[in-house]
Amino acid sequence: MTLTIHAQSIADLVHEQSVDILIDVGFCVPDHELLTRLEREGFLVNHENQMVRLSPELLDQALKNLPKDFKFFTRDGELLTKFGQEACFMGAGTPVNVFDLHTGEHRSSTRADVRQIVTIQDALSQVDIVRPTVTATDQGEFSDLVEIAELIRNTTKPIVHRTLSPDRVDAAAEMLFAVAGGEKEFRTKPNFATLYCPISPGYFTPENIHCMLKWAEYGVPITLLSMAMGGASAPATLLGELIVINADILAWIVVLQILFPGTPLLYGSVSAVLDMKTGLLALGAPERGMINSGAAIMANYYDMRSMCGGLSSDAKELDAQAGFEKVVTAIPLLKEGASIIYGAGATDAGNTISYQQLIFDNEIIAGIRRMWEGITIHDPSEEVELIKKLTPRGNFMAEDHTRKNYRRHWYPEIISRDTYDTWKEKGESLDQTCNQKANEILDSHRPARLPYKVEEELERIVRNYIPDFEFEN
Amino acid sequence: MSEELYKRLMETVVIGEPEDAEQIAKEALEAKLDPLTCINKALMPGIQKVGELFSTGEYYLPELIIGADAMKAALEILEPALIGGQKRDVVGMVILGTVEGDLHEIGKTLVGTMLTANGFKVVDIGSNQSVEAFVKAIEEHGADIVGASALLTTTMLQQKKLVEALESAGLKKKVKIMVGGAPVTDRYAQEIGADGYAEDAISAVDIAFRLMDAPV
Repeated sequence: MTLTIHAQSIADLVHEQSVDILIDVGFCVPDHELLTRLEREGFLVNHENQMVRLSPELLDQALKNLPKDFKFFTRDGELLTKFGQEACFMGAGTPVNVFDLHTGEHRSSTRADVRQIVTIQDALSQVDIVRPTVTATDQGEFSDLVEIAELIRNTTKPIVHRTLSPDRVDAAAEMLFAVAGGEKEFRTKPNFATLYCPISPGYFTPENIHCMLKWAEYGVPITLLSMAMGGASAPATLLGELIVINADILAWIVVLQILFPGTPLLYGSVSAVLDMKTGLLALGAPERGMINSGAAIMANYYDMRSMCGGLSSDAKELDAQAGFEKVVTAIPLLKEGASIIYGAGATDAGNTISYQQLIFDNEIIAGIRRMWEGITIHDPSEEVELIKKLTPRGNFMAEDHTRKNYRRHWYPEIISRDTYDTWKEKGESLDQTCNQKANEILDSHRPARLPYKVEEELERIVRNYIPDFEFEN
Repeated sequence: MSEELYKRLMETVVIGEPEDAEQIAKEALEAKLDPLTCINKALMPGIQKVGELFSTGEYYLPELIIGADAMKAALEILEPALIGGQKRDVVGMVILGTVEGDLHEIGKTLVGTMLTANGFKVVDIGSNQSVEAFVKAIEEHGADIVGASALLTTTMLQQKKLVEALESAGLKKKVKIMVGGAPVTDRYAQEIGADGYAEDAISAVDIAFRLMDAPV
């Protein structure tokens, strides 16, 4: 995607400064074996403080190795054509709380929630990429594998998740390959990407490093997902924060492309700034969209695909605050050409998922997608002829041109455009409408099933960790 | 002369100048001022003023933290100079740390700063700390409160393990357990048998006071 002049200036500056940091100070790699390996590859390694510095040559080589044409597919092997062309929207994830669909109670999320929320995302017209969105807290320490299994089973859309520890990457990959028909088949048409977060500035945990290395061996797409907090783990200016984000991501682009040339990588950021009144993250703040739009700029600069946190909210219910924040945090990402906008269903600063919010986010996405088309330029001769014919005081409604074109306008599924009297008579709140819609989907939508043998295979793989694991019918 | 020094020392806390605070604390000792009086007449009113400015919304966290840092810098000079049986008034002794497997420190450190600013003595054992390390520090320092932080949905379980470990070590009645961190909720804190949960560093102070049964 071509950068605007302003975006290009930001990108040049941020690239130059983050490279300076990576050459001058570097980043921490808390793993002896990997440090030795990196040293052999030409990285400048200080074994004492575990800091690794780049050379300009390594950076050049890594950027050459970086694949430029990463594509995303469905479980059925269909290309997600939108991906890389326009913004795709993805479910949020993965907190441990949910608002219960029936009682509204704020409670711990479960495997049943994962199944239901994945099913709803599978049905929603505007959600392109699916996440488990909540954690299956009732599944104990192997919840990640259960979530991946439910994700694979309950949607055909491209999926994104991660393992919690490196020793489960084999099992997760085995499940993905079982569905794709083999490792080679998966690599040709990946329907899954994983994601791992650094601790800004300049640190990745050993667990996350080993997860990434294992996934890279399998050629599975990896998202380097910065979670910088402006004013705490990064400078308080957006430019300064973006330099931290870029240094953290660029460091691991280089590591992974030198060790595993050609590994598909996504440039990710779910960063934000801190609310200095409380020390809490302000995920619904305008700065949330602004900073992550910087990540979209940098991804485009490196000719990569981006995953950017937005469509976010700090609201605790489906209210005006939620509506405002969701839109404000999504628009800058559209503006700077983000590939994936990451946040559908999230409320409460990403700490709680709401079924109703997920339904309403689908509506918001549809609306802002329509808005993003803008006024298209075409030959208006047909319109001009019509205007001349009907001037003065004519009625366009019965004209063929109107009938052919009015449906391009946006028609909401949820939002009320009723008169006051009708609205009053229905007596239904937005929350109730969304709740009903969620229940309708769960009653009627059946995601396309995997072949029985593949399901059995998935169950077998998870049973190595959870002996009584089985899918519900 | 001494009144002016107290005033200048207090100002370093209110304005938030740790280097000046250290310098003026040294000057005070050179001028043979009583260290305990310096603490009580300069540092405590200074940090109280910072607290007031914070609660009226004039100060945000960065001003509060830098103010507390200034107080700490002066305390490091003044406390070792306390004479004989002199002792700074301490509300309670707190052990703070981030649980095993979790390297996130910012929130926990912020809680430590807030508690220090409010008269607690805080020993921060750092991040990625095992349950055993918590228990050891609690015993070693005779802690009134232990605060365990977890930022990851996966490391929250360590908080539960800490509660269990304190129970089996017979310490559960002696030390109050506070938990916090982004994924942690009041409900979770109750489930695992913690004594207190605070959603942010400011409410952590209120909870700590309540657990000490001291007036807020």
